[in-house]
Amino acid sequence: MRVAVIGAGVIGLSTALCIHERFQPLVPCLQLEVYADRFTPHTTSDGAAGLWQPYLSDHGELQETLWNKETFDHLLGYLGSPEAKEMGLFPISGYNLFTRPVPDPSWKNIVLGFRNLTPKELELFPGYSYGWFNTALMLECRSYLPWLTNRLAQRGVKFFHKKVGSFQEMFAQGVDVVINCTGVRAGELQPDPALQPARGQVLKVQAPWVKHFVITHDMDSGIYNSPYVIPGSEFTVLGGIFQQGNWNEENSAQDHKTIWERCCKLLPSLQKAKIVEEWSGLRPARPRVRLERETLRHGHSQAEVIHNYGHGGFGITIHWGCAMAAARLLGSILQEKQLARPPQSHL
Amino acid sequence: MAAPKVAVVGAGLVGLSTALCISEAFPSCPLSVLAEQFSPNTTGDVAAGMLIPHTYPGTPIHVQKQWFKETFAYLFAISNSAEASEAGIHLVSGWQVFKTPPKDEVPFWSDVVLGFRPMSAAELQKFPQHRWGQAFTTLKCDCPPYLLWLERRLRANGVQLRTSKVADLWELRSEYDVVVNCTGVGAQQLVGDRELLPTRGQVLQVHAPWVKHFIRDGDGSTYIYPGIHSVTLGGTREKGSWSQSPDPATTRDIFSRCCSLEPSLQQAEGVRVKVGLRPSRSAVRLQREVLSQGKAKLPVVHNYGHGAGGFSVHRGTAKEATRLVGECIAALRGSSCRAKL
Repeated sequence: MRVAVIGAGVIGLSTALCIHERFQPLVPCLQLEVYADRFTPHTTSDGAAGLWQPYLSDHGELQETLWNKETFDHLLGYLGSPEAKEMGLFPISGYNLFTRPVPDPSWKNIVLGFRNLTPKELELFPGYSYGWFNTALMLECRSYLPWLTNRLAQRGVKFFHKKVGSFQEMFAQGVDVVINCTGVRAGELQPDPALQPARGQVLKVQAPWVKHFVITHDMDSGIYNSPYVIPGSEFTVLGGIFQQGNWNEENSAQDHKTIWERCCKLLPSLQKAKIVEEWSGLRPARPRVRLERETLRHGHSQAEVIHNYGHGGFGITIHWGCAMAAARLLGSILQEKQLARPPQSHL
Repeated sequence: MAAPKVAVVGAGLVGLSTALCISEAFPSCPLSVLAEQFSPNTTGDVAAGMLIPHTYPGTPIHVQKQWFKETFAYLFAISNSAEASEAGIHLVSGWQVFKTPPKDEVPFWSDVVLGFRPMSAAELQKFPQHRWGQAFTTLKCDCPPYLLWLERRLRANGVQLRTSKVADLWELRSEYDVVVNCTGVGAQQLVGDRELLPTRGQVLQVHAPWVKHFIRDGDGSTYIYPGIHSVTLGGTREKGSWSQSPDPATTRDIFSRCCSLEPSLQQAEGVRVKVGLRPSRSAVRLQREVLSQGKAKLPVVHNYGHGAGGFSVHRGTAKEATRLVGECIAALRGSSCRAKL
C-alpha cells in the first residue's frame, strides 16, 4: 500500500508523521514516501516566525477552530519534555493591538491567560486604544521541520527531492494514495481559483531584549498588513506585509522600508536592532482550507487523493489538527480497501 | 560661596543612580564618584535586576511603594525608547508561583507592575508542584549594561568617576563639602553599621534564549530571570556569609531547582557562576548625618542597605538622597551666610 505525500513544509511532514504513527502498526504493508521540490530550510514554513496564532475571525469555519485547538493542545503536551528545544517549541506572551474595540477571538480560551490590555499597558503603544494579552506558543520551523524529518527517517519513510508534475505521474508509478500538501503551488497539480498567493516579507533582526510578540491590526487593511514583531530563539522577526495575488518571491525595497519604519515606530527600541536577513514567501491563501478526499480515474481503476492545502498565514497554527483529519480520511480509504479495521470492530 | 563640592562614595547601582540624580538636580555643584569597584565588579552586576520589590520591615509600606513607583516609571520610559537596549532595560512577563498560599494575595506593588492577576488553572498546569500563582509584566535592568549606561550619563554631565579606596568618610572633608555614602555592604566596616549584614547570593547565568518568561517561586529561593544575553538562575539567601567564592554544590542545587520549574533549562548551555553579597538591613538607611571633630563638620547623606530590593527602589531612594543633599547644601549656605555676619 503506497502512500505518497507531496510537499515537505509543515503540512506535508506533519501529515506524513501523523499517518505513519497511526497506521504503520495496523497496516504493515504501508509504504510512505515524501516527494517535494523544496525541503527545509527552503519551504514557505521556514520563513514564518512560528507563532501559534489564528486569524482574528474564523469566518464561521468551526472546523478550523477545532483544528487550531487540537494543534495547540498537542504542542502544549510537548512543553516540558526533552524534545521541546529540538522541536523549536517554547511558550511566548505578547500583545495584539487595535485602534478600536473588537470582539474576542475564537481562540481566546485555547491560549493561556487571555485578557484585555490595561490602560497603562496601552500607554506603551501610542495610536492603539484596545488590545489583548495572552500566552501562546512558538514553533520555529527551522527546528521543527528537521525534527519531523528525523522522526520520519527513523521510521523508514523515504524522501525524494523532485518536482511532481501530476497526480497521474504518481499513480503510474504505483502509488495508491496521494496526499496533496503542495501549499501555494497546488494549482500546478490541479487548477484551484480559490487558492491565491498572499505574499509576505520579513526582516530578521537581532533584538534579544524583546521578549514579547507585538501584533498590530488595521481592520481596514486586513490581516498581517499592519506591523508585527515576533521574537524567536535567535532572531526577532519584523513583518506586516500581505499582498494577495503577488507571486514575487524577491525582496522588495519598498516593503523593507515599510516594515522597518512601522516596526521602529511601534517599538522604538528596535532602532538599535541589527538586520541580519530578509525573506519573502507566499502564503497559500484560500477562503478555507481544502481538506478533503478526491477519487480520480486512473486508467481502468480509481486512485485517491487527499487534499490538505490552503492554510494561508496560519499553517503552523493549524497543522496538527489538519494532519489528524487527513489521517482520518486515509483511514476511511484503508477501511474501504479492507486493509484496516474500523476502531470498534470485533473479531 | 562657591558651589559646594559633592562626593558620592560607591559606584554600584545606588551610588551611580544617586550621583545621576544629584547631577540633574544640582548641575552647578562639582560632583565626583569615588569607589574601589566599578561595574562589572559591583554587587548589582551579579543581580538579575528584576523589578519585583522586596519588603523592608523597617520602612513604611507607602514609602516603599512610592520608591517603587518612581523607579518603575523612570525605567518604563527608557524601555520604550531608542536607548532601551543600550541601557539594558526591557519588559518581561512571567509568573510567581506558590506551593503554600501566598502571604500577600495582592502585594503592595501589584498595581505598579503591569497586568497583575492570579494565574488561571490552565496556566498553573505548567507548574505541577505549585497550586497558586500570580502573572504580571515587569521590567528588568540588565547589568553591566545599565550600570555602564549610568556611567556614560554621568560623564556626559561632567561628573568625575575615580577609583579610590575611602577608609574613612572624614578624610574626604579636605576636598568635599558634602559626602553621600552609597557603599552598600561596605558600609558595615566604613561607618560601623552593625545592622548591615551581608546576605550571600549565588546565581548561574546560562544561555537559553528560548526562555522568554520569568518564573519565580514565591518563597523567593528559586527564580529564572531571562535577560538580554543570558538567563539568570537563582538562588541562595545566606545570612551573614561574606564568602564570594562560588560553591559547586550550590551550583548543582540551583540548577536542579530551576530545572524543576522549567525543564527546558536542561538544554541550557554555558553556565557561569557568580556570587554577590546583598547589603541587608531592616530598612534602607536614608538619612543625613553631620560628622564633626571639634568645630569642623562634614555633612553626610547615607543611602545604603537596600538588601535584595535595590533595583526595585533605586531611583526612588536616589531622589530622596538628592533631596537630603539639597538640605545639606541649604544648611551650608545658611551657615556660610551667618559666618559673614
